[in-house]
Amino acid sequence: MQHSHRRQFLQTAAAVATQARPILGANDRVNLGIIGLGGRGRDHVNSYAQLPEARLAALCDVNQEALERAAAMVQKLQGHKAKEFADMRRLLDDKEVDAVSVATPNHWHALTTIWACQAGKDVYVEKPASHNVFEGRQMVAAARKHGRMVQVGSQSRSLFHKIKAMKLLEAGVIGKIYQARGLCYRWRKSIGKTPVTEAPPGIQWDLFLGPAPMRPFTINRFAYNWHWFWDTGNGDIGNQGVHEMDICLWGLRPKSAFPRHVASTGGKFLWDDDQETPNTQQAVFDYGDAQIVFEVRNLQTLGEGGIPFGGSSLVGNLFLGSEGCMEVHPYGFKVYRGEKREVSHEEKPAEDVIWDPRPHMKNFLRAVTSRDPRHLTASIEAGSDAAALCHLANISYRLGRRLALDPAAGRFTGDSEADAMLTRRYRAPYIVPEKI
Amino acid sequence: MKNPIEPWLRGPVPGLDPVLGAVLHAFQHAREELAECSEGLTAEQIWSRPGGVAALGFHIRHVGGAAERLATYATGQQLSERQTGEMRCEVDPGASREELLAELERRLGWCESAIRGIDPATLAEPRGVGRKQLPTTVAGLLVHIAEHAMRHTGQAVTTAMLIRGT
Repeated sequence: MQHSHRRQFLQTAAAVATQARPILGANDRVNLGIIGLGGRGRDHVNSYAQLPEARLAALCDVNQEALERAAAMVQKLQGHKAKEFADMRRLLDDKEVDAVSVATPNHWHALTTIWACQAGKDVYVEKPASHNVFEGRQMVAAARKHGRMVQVGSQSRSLFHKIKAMKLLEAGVIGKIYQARGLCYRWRKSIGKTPVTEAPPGIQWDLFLGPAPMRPFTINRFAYNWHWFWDTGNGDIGNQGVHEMDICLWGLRPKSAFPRHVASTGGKFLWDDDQETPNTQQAVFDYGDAQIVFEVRNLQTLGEGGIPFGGSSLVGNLFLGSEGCMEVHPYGFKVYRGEKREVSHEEKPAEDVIWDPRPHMKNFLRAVTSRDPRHLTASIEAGSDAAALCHLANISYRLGRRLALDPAAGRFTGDSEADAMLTRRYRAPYIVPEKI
Repeated sequence: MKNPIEPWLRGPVPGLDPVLGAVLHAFQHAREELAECSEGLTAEQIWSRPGGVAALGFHIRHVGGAAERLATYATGQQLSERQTGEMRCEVDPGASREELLAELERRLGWCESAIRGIDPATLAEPRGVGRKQLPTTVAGLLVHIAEHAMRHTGQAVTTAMLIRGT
């Protein structure tokens, strides 16, 4: 979730920070390292700093300015000095750190998670879990091999109204589901064009790129806009969209997350800028007896179903079944049944601040201390599946054709060109290992 | 402009035990010679293998990687899975001179911090290397770190001459 309702969040944060809270002993607190301290990483710092079970022990970013800003936040919010690192490998070597929270760009998620698991640390990793399908599988394997708690930042999985909505679907409230729809309508303006320059002092550009190919520095490839370049991001379907994709899978519960076919089309319309990924995208995933239909719109649009706009954005899901339909979104859910579409269930969020990541982080910390994976509401397996669908859609979009898949084998059918896009060519030494 | 005086003759490292300081001198020597011998070479040249010898790119990467691993042992720790995984990809071609030197700098920088943290009174303490925990001492590791870095730097310089045909 990239655009928190920041003012509202900070007000709540300030209120919580001033409340009395129990003092936990050193052994009750999880020593956390935050890796990646851009906008989302600072949300992590701010959120964990308010949780009494978390101690922000270490910080890491390739941008010295971001590192210093986050260190000042920790000093202010928790009253101590966190260790500072530019190279995450050094943070992962630190025995004091119990767990890491990862808010790097997408192309670093897998390697960071795997290295952290190898170093014996638990991991909270932002969505999408992976940058390609292969990486998701390796992350699952690393978590299992090393017995680590790995939670993906799919916050919806810790929201009460969404959990309840999914339970109702599982109980058959709308009968057999034949279509799950994901809507990711977020107005986004043009990123423009930025020239190639030297990387500014204090930014280790080589480390920022990590597993991605070496490219000249441009400001658009850095900061937030890395989302819109295939080397580092996955477009909006893999940014905001992966939340709604996760809910499609959560509600539909297909036997295999891999569909029989995927077809995606769209384009980058209106703007003439540096962005590589589409700003308009449709994707259909065929499961034989049901389908997922997903749509990304980053330009002007009208709404759909009963899903409300939040500012200029509309995100949510529609489930269509034999007995009725459900709309579910950040502001609640509603069930319509029968031909007259009468409302049978309606619920608003239980949380005061619906974009607040702290409940999700608390679940993660609970799993870390209890060693009980049932506290992980967004497992790496689920996160990997949701991300995989975004990647499959992008492969179809980039190749410009409908693709057949072998769900059991987890690859495309007779299509070596598409299969090659399930992974990437890694830049040494930043290589996601074949063998975990 | 190149400093005509080799690092080990530029005076002691301030505030550091002379034995530990000598290792840092070796790192500086490696930095300067690896940067100089690779100057102006393309990635293709850096990863070429004239006469079948190891690529210049491998030597640059190996100097930093091996120093990091040996310094890990010197500080009494064993290698992580991440470190052994990185060791396996040291021969992977493709990285440019700038990428290799940036990575070298990061690794040597970490090694310097680790070496600065070693108490000179512990130089005779035993250390184990590798899965078999072969025996050495802190001093043994420090000497090997320095001589290993310089051995590969020398090979890198020769390889660069072969690439240039000089």
